[in-house]
Amino acid sequence: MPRIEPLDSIWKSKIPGHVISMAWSPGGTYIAAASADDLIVILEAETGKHIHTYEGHPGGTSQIAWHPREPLLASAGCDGHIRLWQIGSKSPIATVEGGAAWVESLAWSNRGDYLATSAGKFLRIWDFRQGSLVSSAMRAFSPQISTIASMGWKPGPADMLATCGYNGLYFWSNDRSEPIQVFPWKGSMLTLVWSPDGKYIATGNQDSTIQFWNMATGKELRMWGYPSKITTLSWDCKSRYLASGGSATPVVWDCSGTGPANTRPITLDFHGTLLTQLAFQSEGSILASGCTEGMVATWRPGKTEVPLATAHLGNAISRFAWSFSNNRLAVGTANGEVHLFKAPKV
Amino acid sequence: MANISSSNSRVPVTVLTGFLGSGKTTLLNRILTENHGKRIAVIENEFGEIGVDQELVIQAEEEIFEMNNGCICCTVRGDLIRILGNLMKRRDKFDYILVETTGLADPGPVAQTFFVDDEVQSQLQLDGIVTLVDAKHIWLHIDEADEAKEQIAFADVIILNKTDLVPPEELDRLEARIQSMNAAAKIIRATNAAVDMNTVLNVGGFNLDRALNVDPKFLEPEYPFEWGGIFHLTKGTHTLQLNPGPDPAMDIVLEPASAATPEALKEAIERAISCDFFTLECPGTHKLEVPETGYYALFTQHHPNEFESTLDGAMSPLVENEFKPDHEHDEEVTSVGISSSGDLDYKRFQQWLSNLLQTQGTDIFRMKGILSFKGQNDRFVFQGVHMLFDGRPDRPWGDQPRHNQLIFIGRNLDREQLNEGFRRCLA
Repeated sequence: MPRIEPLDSIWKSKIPGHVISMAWSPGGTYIAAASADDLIVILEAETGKHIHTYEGHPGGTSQIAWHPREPLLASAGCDGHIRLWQIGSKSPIATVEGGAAWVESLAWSNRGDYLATSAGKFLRIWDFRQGSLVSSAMRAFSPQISTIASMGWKPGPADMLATCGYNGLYFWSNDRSEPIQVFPWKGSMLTLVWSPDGKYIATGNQDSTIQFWNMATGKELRMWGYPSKITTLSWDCKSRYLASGGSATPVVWDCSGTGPANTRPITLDFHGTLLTQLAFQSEGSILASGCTEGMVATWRPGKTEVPLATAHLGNAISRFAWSFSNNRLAVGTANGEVHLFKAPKV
Repeated sequence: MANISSSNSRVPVTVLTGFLGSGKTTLLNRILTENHGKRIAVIENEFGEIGVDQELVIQAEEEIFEMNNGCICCTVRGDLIRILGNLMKRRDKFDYILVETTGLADPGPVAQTFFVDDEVQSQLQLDGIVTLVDAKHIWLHIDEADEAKEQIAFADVIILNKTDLVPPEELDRLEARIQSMNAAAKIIRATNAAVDMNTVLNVGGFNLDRALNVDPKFLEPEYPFEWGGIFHLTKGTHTLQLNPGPDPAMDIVLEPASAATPEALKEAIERAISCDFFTLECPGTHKLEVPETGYYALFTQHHPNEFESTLDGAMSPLVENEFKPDHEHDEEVTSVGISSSGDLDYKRFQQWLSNLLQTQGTDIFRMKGILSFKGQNDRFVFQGVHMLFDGRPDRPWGDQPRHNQLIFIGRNLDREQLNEGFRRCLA
């Protein structure tokens, strides 16, 4: 049995409350970490020092996302609001409403022209091409058939948004008030991820299955055998591997060749408890996995089934964020710790 | 699935149901303002309006999801899974959760949410379902609305609220009716939803550690009479006067009795159930012919007080008794209790129950029980909601006599069939 290296720790910091969302600023200078309690803390990526603490959202911040080009951070929260924060200014530079009590998710389009937000059944797409977040430049799609559980913009130049919930996948464009396409499915989808090449969407479901949706044909492929609902999924940068949670073992499907149908997935044994997070590097081949017990493992699926390096943080892993250069992994925990690790050498 | 957190650290959840106007908001406000030392997070329905400042009040729009887990099909509250998941990320802010449902909610999906979703089940414990009943207006719904029946049937605690607006006899009648629907629930009378917090919080309704606690009267046999009394009657004609009451007629039986004792009354009722009943109009003056002087037992379908009934100008029996009324024929939602000695064959019982739940699971709202399995030293405790079932051995019988006690609460339950099915499982 080869010795498993510990992950190389750079610093450790703490924010008050469960780290519910975490993101690197576009230049890699900052890491923003949001607390499920309320606050948003801007950490200096090099040192872990708190640079700014924003009030966030009373009742809990739910998600944050940096604008892809500007030093602007958008946040959504359980106070029904979406706010925009600019590094340096103390209070939000914009506050708008999401349409329902809890704004649960938000996502910038790839070039940062649009910001999509969801609050319950209410989807809103905000036009940010003028550089401001204002209600007059917003299109509301409401109410949806069911609460939006997850959303994601299609990778690439076309601004197409996918949302999922109970009853199927919906596709939206900014210039139509009705969905441009629907893939119906009777069941509750909890999370969706686009393959980086835009050919597939994978969904993790409440009924302990995952599905691959072929965007060209609308056909789905369903995978059974998970002991628990699937709340975390991640594609590798080549759109070859999809890693899935739903158990204590990362299950990795190989989508190369004729696809994952009738194949055995790669299973990666290390964790003893339910996985909470999986994240592939945006460039590179490393997968990070985290579980409720606070273990972090890094892997190269398809190359070896032994972890590259691991860490034990003692509290449930709540978030991963790889830096844009992919040489750093930020890890958030349920008790508010933020750790920065070096990516293992491969 | 790996055990994510130990069961004793789970946060208790109380579900509050009841029709619009039954006093849910009043009770919620009471719970929030009462000094019980608990920090309570409230998930209120979209129309709720809590009147006190409370940090953690979340409005939920009820969203029912159908779920297929293997052969079990059930409905859950999708919105609750999401909200509870988020709340557990703020775990240190509260130590109790209250979920208020809309007036027309079926409690089934709420209850099942706590047994179907792993994340919810590992972190939260459904403590009990508390149903508020407007004692004055429930009569408008109890026969018509399935939701009202379901809310009563699912409850661990039923609060008869607004009792000040209803005469005591009517309350007794309502309570008896509710008890016949749900014999396992604790019924509390209240005005302005003023109840002792200990009766609604931490009741352990779904907790297997707390033994089944059913009123022993419930396990008595049922008779088509609510009342019986023994009189000494002389040969000749006697007058039974029935005054206006809740029904236009009632059944009676007059049966000779051997003595004026409770035992004689018991003997007489067993004979009386196979006699021809007289259906007498109310109001009305009715003649009873007595062939021989002696003791006679009079059995009435309803309590004589309800009709201010008199026999020869008074109502003074030498011995009397109230019986558990047989509501099988006029009540769609009922409880069936089984109380039996003898050990069960584990395999046969499992097959019977599994078959029962697959065929009648949608009609069985709740079930609970303590069982004695052959060859097992420990008591086996179980409870279930629809098709979802949870059971395990708990503690040794010890000096306690081994005994089986089960209760089913549901719609269109066949008492005979359930009893017969159970008997066939005896080893």
